Order: sequence, then C-alpha cells, then structure tokens
Amino acid sequence: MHVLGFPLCVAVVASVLRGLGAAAATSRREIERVRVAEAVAAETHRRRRQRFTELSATTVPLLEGLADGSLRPGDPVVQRSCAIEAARMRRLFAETDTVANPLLHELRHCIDVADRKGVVVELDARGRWPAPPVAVRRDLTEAVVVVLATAASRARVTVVGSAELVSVSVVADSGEVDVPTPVTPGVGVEALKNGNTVWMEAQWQPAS
Amino acid sequence: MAAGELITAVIVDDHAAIGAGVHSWCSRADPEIALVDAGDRLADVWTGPGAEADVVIFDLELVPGRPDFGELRRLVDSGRRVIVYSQHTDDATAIKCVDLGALAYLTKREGPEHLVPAIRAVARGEAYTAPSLSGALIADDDPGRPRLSQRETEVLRAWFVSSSKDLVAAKLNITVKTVDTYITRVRVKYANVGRAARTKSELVGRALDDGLITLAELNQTSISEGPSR
Repeated sequence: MHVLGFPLCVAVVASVLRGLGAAAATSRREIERVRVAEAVAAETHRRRRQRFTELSATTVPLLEGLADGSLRPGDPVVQRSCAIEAARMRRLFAETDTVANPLLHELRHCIDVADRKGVVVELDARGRWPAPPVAVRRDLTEAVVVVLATAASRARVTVVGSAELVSVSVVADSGEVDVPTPVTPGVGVEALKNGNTVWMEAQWQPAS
Repeated sequence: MAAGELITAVIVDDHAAIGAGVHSWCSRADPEIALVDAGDRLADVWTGPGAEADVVIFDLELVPGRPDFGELRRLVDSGRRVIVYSQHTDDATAIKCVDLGALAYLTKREGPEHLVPAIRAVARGEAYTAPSLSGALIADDDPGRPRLSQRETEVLRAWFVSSSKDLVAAKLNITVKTVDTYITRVRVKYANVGRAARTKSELVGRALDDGLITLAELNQTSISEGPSR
C-alpha cells in the first residue's frame, strides 16, 4: 500500500492541477475573446458615429427636408442633391473595403448611382499611382459625383496616374454644376463648359 | 486615291453583328464608304473585291485569345493600309499593332464617331489615333519609346480623357487643327522607331514634306538607337 500510496497521491493532485490549469486557460481565452469583441464593437461604433457625422452635414438635412415636406421630390435641384448624396453614401461605404485600388473601387461605386439612372458611363484608367489617402480620394471623386448627378445620357470618367500626378476627369452632358472646393492641400479642381458638355478634372500631386 | 473618290474598305471579323454594324455606319457616312464584308474569311481580303479595297478593317482576334500579329504583319508588308479593330484594350497590344505598321488601332467600344474618320484618314495613308490608343501612348514606359514634348503629352492626355477634340482645343486654348498636328507628330515619332514598314515611312516622309516635323526633331526623339523593339 505504501509503495503505491505516494505516486497515487501525486497523480491525483497532478490531475486536479491540470484540470484547474485547463479551466484557467479556457477562461483566459474567453476573456480575450470578449475583449476583442468589445474593441471591435467600440471601433465599429466610432466609425459609425464618424460616418454619421460626415452624413449629418449634407444627407441628414436633405432627408429632414423631404420628411417635413419643405423639399419637393419633383424639384430638379432636390433630385440633383439626392443623386449627389446617394453617390456620397455609396462612396462612404466603399471606403472601408480592402481593395487593391481604392480610388478606382470608390469611383465605380460613384458611377453605379448614375448608371442606375440610365446614364451610360465609361470608366477608363491608365498608368500606375500611389494609393491616395481617404481625404484626397474624396476630393478627387467629388468632381465625378457632382458632374454625374446632372448627366443627361452619357459620361466618360478617366483616371490618369503616375508617381507625380493623379488626375480624375469626368466629361458629361450635364447641366449647371457647382465646382467643388477641395479640402486637402495638393488637390486642384478645374472645370470647363463647352456647349452642353461639362469637363471637370481633379488633380492631386502626391509630393506636395 | 484622289479626293472625292469613293473609299472602299474590307472588314474581316468573325462576328456577323460587327460586320453588319460597320456596314450600316459606312452606308450612313457622308460621303458613303463602300464596305466589303469578308466575314471570318481572311482569303477574301487577299482576293476578289477585298483585295482592291483601300482600307482593311482587321479583327485582331479571329481565333479568340490568339491575336494574329503575323497576319497583320503580312498585310502591312504587302502595302495594305490597316485599321486594327479589337476587343483588346491592353496598351501593349495597341502599341505592338502600331509598331507593326497599322495606321489605326480602335477598340470595339469606339463606335462610328471614331471608325468613320479612321477609315477616311487611313485611306489617305494617314494615321488615326483614337482616344484608347492615345491612352496607351501616354502610359507607354518602354525604354525604346520616342521622346515626346510636354505639349504633345498634354494633348494626348486631354484627347484620351475627353474624347473630344473641341474640348481639347478649348481646354488648351489652341485650334482643333493644332490638336491634330500634335497628335500626328506623336504618331510620326512612333513611326520613326522600331520595325520598318512602308506605311510608317510614308507617315514620316509626308510629315517631313509638310514641315510638320523637322529631321533634327525626329533625330532627337529616338531615345535609344539600341536593339530595343
């Protein structure tokens, strides 16, 4: 009995300890999982708040106006604003996607809104360029959003890029358009109206 | 061919819809362009009415996935004036066709607003540069490419982007004729490098005769005289 007694005790104690250790590891993993979930939720919440803030300046007043009847859906100006806001929202949602070429990806989303209205839009790109930061991408795509909002039937959107210059251009049979003012330094927007055609070009010089 | 004479073109394309579409554009063009539809029969470009046509409109991919540069080379070498009409939009293919001696390269997205003027220009032995080819030329970073002036690059870029010579002229504050001059100069510079072909030397010769470019300018434009292209 004595011969067996001591190892048996050790074995029993070891097994209990192993059980405790496994339980501790499980709960550690659980805590870790909850922490990650919390961090993700906080980040998502932050991002949603930020998106909402970005929309609140332009989209929310439009929705409020439509809701309280102060804006009439039949008004061409209201329709144009709706087209612009729809494209901006699409762009906003596309900004968090992980893609190889975020500028082209966001442009496609902006174009899609016009496409659904029946405007035939060509998108063509040439060259290679560094990925612009999100604020720059917004400035570059804003010209396209604004011009496509009033395009009647057809538009051509092009990107020409190099290490020194990224240029986004839109040509369309649009009516009156307001030339957007870029927010980020290093971005310039030019517009040319020729008969029924509007040509707007936004350029970014990465070095500046 | 003399001015005012009826231009004839032959199209070789395996898609019946393309042949029919181009036929309708040609018959509605003013003045009308006579079109021979060879379907997918390359032989009809070499014999019968197709052999007499001023212009060959050539589908580069009669066999899908296999661009037929060899046939393009044979056509050019026998003195034919060729428009490559392709579903390809990649820059390397476009530039290769130009280097082989095609006078125009159009993608099938480019409709009658480009194909009809291209047929007229090519019938005269002149080059036609559609916006898609213009895009390929501005993106060309081959070490053997000719050196373009800043203004030439600006014009090419604006033409690719806007697809309208009126807009290019308005934007750069020049006339449409000057826009054409810059584009022609670029094509002459390209014709002056790479593979020798009769269509290409005709472009260079005429540009020199017309004073569009000088011999000194042409000599400056070859970046490398080495073995490239």
